[in-house]
Amino acid sequence: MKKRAQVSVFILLGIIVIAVIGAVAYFYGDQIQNFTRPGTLDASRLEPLKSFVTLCMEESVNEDLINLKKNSGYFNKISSTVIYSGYEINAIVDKSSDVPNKMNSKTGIENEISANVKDVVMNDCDLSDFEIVKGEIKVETDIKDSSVVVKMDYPLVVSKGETSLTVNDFNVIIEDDFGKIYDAVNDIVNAEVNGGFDINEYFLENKDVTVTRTDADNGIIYRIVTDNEEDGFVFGVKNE
Amino acid sequence: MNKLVSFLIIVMFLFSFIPVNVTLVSAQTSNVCCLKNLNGEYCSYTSADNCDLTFDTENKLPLKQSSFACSQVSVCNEPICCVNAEGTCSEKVSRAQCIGQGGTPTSSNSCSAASQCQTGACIINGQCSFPMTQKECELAEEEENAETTFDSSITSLEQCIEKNSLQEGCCVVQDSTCRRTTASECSQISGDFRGGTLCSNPDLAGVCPGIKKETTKQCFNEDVYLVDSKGNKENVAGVNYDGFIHDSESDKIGKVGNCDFSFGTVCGEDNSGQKACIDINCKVGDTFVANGFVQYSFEEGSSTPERIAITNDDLGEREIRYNGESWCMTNTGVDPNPPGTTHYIYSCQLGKVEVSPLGTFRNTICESQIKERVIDGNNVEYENAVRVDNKWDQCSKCGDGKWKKCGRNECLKLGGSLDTEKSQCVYNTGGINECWPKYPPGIDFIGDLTGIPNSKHTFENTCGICGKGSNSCDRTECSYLGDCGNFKEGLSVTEGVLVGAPIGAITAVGAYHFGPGYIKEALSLGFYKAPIAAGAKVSLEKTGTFVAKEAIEWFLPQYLLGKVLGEQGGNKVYQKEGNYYMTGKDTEGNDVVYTAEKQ
Repeated sequence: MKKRAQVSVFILLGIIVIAVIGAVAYFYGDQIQNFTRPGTLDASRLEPLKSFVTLCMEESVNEDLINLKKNSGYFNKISSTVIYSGYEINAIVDKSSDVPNKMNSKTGIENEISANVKDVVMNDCDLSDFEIVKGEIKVETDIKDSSVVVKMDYPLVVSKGETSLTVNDFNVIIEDDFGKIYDAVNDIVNAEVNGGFDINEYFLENKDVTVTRTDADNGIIYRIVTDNEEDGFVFGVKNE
Repeated sequence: MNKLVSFLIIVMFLFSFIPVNVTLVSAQTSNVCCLKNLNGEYCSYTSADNCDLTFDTENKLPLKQSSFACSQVSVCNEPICCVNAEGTCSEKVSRAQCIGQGGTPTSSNSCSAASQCQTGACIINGQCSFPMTQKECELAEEEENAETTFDSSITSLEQCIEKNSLQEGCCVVQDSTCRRTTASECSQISGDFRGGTLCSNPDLAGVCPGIKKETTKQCFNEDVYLVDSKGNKENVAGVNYDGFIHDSESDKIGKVGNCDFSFGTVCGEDNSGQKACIDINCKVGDTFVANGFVQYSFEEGSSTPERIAITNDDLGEREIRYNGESWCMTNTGVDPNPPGTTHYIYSCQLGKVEVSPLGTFRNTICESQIKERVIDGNNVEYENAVRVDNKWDQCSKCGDGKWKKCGRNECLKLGGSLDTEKSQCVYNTGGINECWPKYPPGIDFIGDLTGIPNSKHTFENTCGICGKGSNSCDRTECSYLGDCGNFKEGLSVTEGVLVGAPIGAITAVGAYHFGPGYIKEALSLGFYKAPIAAGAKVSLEKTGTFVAKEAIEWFLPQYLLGKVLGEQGGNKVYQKEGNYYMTGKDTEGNDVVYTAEKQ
């Protein structure tokens, strides 16, 4: 009898052990497999890298747009300026010059944004947390009416074990009325270099943008805003 | 003396400025005219270190910096009109800036004189954009991947919209011809467009004389419209007349002429020959005129189109079939299809039941799927039938694989689906494990004039394989395999018992007495043991002589019989726990294990 009882205890213990092992395998099987399996990569593992690089691009483009609006389509001060309340505003129309139109073309601005994004991603965007091999970077910017689209082709190869994955397309769309504002600025500049700009007529024809004008010490300051861009784009017209 | 001193002082004073001037000059000489500086500004007079020499990679400009002032450099001092890379034009820009930013300088210094800068309307996919240059329009075409048209004659957005609009109205041309057109069409014929106005509007009576409103009804697309006396479309039947066009969905909703194809109504002729919304679903009892069928009346001596009444059978045992719905039918309605069966796709097309035969010999058959669909707010069963190839010849391949045995899944899979409803092969569950075509192929027994059968099925490749696997061909299998003719069933079960039982008994007795041992064993239900082999005596020098006694059933390896004591004449003697065993042949020459006795 005694012997029988002992056997029963061991049988019970065995059943419990098997049940526990089964439950662990059922509920944590995947995790155990992932833990023990040799390193593999899937596309989802590249998401953090993609997000990080995209964030770098967004920051660069947003900063560029602020600078461009503040500096009349340039990133820095230029030689022609008008003074307003002690501030120097870039004059993209300089009537004292033989060539009064100093306005940066849209393509020129797009190229500048692309160059800055490229510079930021390559030099300021710290990718040291990721084990990657970097390829050649190409950036294209397209300023649309209400958005700025930046496409970057930057092959980043991530390897783990015998597998490697490449992520290379990074796209950023910034909602911004820069394109719409730029077109208005181009109209005003073209009118100013040919004599003058009729602000009232323009207001009647273009309801999407609001143009305000004020006199400066040596010229005029224009500010163009939209419903979505309260700060707007500022530029000067320097007198002869 | 004083004069001399004064002169020297003046001379020294003047000379004291010389080094300062020299410094200035040297400072000035280090400055240059940068065609582009590092700030991105063009034509700035600054330190040479500030020049950006990396721009203009294609070297379109003659230089990138100049020791002269920018006002002396032609690419900086001559204002030009620049067509920018994005197609816009910039007035009075320096050539350096224009080229540096990818633009194209024009030959004129004013953009108003440059043809590339003339603006007009760009119509992109029927949408007007104004003002745009031709280049902008071309770039938009590339970017939007859309068809564009550039119209330089347009001077305002409103004019563009009016000229290209799809808005409808009455177009009045000079000879007082009035007809309903779009603004765009009216513009093309140089008419006077009255947007949103019907030509029968009393206000236009002066310019469009004699047009009477709502004289007849006509079908336009799926709806019933009223038409004026000149044939101009007016409003959907049921819309109150006020002389203006009311063609929006909200205007038409609930109106008698607003037919809805998706709900099964469309403009057509009703029984009285009037244009009205007619039901295009097919319902039991509905009648329709069948094309090509006429009834000849001898009394009247004329033919009239025959009206066919839809029956429940026509609709595959349904009360209604929705427009566009299709279903499978056969002319026999029997499974498996007997000889002469043809598959058809029946469909409901605009209220008519259309029939498409799928050819003789069942080379192609009909298959359908039923899905739920929302029609008129209700969930309904909607059937869709298609013509598919008959995979009859695949079914007989079952069992050709590695395992040489036809399994249920293999059979169904050969028929295209593991679902028995969808598979074209039927797995015979009668215990013979055979795979038959669900739709037996037809056989052309006659053939055309050359004697070549029109069917790819021949008697040999269909009926000839009846019984494959089981070597028995019964009526069911024969029927499934194809048009194999009348099957001769043979004897009934009772007849079989009466005839077969004596024959079987006699055969069994004969086999027991005259057949080999294993038959005897089988017939004696295992009680029979093969006789001990003659001469099954083994003499082993040291251990003694052993005699085989009785055969035992043994299917395990021989080494499990124990320790080998010795061998003689191919007979081995084993010992295990005091028992002896001997291996050898029985009287029929089969391998047998015997118990043995030591003598």
